Amino acid sequence: MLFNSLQFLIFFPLVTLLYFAVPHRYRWALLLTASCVFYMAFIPIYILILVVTILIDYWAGMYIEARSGRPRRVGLIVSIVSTCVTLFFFKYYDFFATNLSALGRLSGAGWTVPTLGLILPIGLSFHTFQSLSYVIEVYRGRQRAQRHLGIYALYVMFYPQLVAGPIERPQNLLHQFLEPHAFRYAQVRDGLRLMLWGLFKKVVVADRLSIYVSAVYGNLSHHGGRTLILATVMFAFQIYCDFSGYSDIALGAARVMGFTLMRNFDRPYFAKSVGEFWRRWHISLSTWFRDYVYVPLGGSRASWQRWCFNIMATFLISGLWHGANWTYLVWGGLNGLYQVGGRSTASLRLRIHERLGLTAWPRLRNVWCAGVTFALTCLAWVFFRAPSMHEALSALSRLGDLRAPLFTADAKELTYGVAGIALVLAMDYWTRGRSFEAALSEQPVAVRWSVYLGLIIAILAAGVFNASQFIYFQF
Amino acid sequence: MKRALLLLALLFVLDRLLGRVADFLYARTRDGDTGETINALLAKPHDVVVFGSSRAEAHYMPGIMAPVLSASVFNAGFKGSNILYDYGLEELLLDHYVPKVIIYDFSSFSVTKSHANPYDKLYPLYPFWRNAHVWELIAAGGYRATLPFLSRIYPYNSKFHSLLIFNVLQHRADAYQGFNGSSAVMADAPLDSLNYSERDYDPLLVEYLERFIELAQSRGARVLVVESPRRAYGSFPLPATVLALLRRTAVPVLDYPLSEHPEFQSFELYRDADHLNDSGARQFSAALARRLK
Repeated sequence: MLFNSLQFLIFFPLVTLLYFAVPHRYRWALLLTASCVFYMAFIPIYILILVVTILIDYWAGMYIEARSGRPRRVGLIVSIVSTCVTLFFFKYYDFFATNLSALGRLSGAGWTVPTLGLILPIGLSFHTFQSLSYVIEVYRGRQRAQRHLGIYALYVMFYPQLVAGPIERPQNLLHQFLEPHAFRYAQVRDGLRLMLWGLFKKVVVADRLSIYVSAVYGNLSHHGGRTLILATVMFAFQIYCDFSGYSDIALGAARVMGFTLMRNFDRPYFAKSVGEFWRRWHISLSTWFRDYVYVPLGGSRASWQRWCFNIMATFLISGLWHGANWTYLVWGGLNGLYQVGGRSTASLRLRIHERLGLTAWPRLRNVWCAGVTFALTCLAWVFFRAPSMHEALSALSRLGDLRAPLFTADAKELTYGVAGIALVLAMDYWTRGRSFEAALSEQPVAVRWSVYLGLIIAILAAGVFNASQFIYFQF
Repeated sequence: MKRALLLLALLFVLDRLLGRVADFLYARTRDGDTGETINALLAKPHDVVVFGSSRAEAHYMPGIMAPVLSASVFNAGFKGSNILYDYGLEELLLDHYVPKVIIYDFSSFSVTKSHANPYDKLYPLYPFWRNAHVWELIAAGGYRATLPFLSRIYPYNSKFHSLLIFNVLQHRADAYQGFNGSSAVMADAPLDSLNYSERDYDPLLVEYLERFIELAQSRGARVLVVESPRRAYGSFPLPATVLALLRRTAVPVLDYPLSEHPEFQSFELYRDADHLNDSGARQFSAALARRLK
């Protein structure tokens, strides 16, 4: 079920009303049933994958907690391997099979590995990572194993964040299912505000931008530098509004029922370095990789070479997490290289800034750094968006061709898109790190109501209503 | 709670108010990029009306065809449309007047299956949702299609830009006859032909093609199916289902395979493999008008 569908418009109030109507001891069952219905609206049979993952990790959690030493580690390994095998089978098998077959052809060995052509279960990477974080936290002794199978299943399947995160940690979410949540007007209001803003970003901004971006990236060979630059900038905002819009709706839907999920975005395009960008973009995934990959590898408290290896490994895995394609791997690698390059050139850049007199103008320096970071991020987005490496490289090779005409076939989409981007950036600037609903709370009633009415009317007048999927669902 | 109800009431009033403004602006609009040409089509009777998608929109020049045919011609083609839209538009048109000839520019895309919901293509007709025939068609899309019509702004979704721009600029007069072409010349090699198999055709859309033809014939209009030129390798044989349907309904087919019409082989006449440019449209419109005469 998509957040931007009419089904959800009926499903959400119904589940929320029932949630507050039933006694606390039955609420987990209600939410679990609702989450199953939500998930089964996509491909019903795939719920079996979730059931298997849940059962294995539920068992692993209790097994690990009850033991010490080697058996404890064995329990962790069994859980991680089983979860990763599921992920590999559905998400990466065909990628490796195709590449092995290509290798066979190139080497002359002539072997071919058959592909399976399986449809990727929606949100697989999200709920498997959430399961993994539970088992790892139990192993590390930071989380008690959950003995109630239903509550544990709900932790993995909680519908607002089931298919595209935020990827929660058990310490933050699990205990919330055990606490009674009373109906509170303020939390319902805040949640609905956040949902409204998220829906606006998705259907008015992201889906409008996607029309232009798809027209260009669907026919990359037809377009020159100016069009490719414009489409890439638009894609940068499309993916931001799409994913942060989804996250806002998820956070808002959970908030209405009294749950607090972790914030997933913090004005990423205001970041002044790529490192900062990754502290502001998809925070729940970035911190997951930090806690479970980067730090265990040694993090930054290591030699220069080792740190380079740690950061590159983390970002390459992050790239692969996003999709089984070389383009995602290059996208991840490029983001890792940016960080290595950023740290290597820190003193050089400072000297350049001093020469240019930027250090005397901190605001100007911030704008400059944010601009450079945005440009680097956009360059990486080319790989993320292009359907293949060949097309990504072909697009990059034509970025400098500024003589080719700008593609303006649909001026309407461009107008709506640019207006939407301006509004989102203005809102990000205005909120200054606070959440949307918190910033809005401080405004007088006339401003708040104007914002509500303005957003609803904008959704009705300019929203794209054919319920397109969220980009991150494919991961 | 009181505040929430007040907000809802305010939203209701604002929605109705803006809906009225949009009704007013739309009724005055004769042109736009989201189907506002419908008003120009309905404003006065035309002898020949062309239906179809972007290929129709870009290939038939009423200004060229009208003098040859000694008849008024209107090009009602709309980019990206399918036969559901054409059928709804035909119902709307026949409620106003009956043209002598209806030309349907056949494009496989109009009747083939796609991932998108075919009923979504009806959106240019949304401002006419009060028309019983149009509403019947919208309602066939189920509650997902009808529920948003609780709002009076929604029928003008994505159209406000057109309503404002084309009301302020009025860059085409009432005499506008619907052609929307391009002067670009195709740069790339032509595409291979897309050979659809029978199972690629959507039975619902083929059924609506039949209804489209039968409705026009029952009201006394003559229907012609035209396959205008395209610059692609190979031929585009009409699917057997469609051919059988055209035979059954005695609808003549005028096609332009490049092997039989070398005058349409030059790349200079095309903006891409599927669409003629202005030069091509001028040449094709004249040729078709002579053939029709």
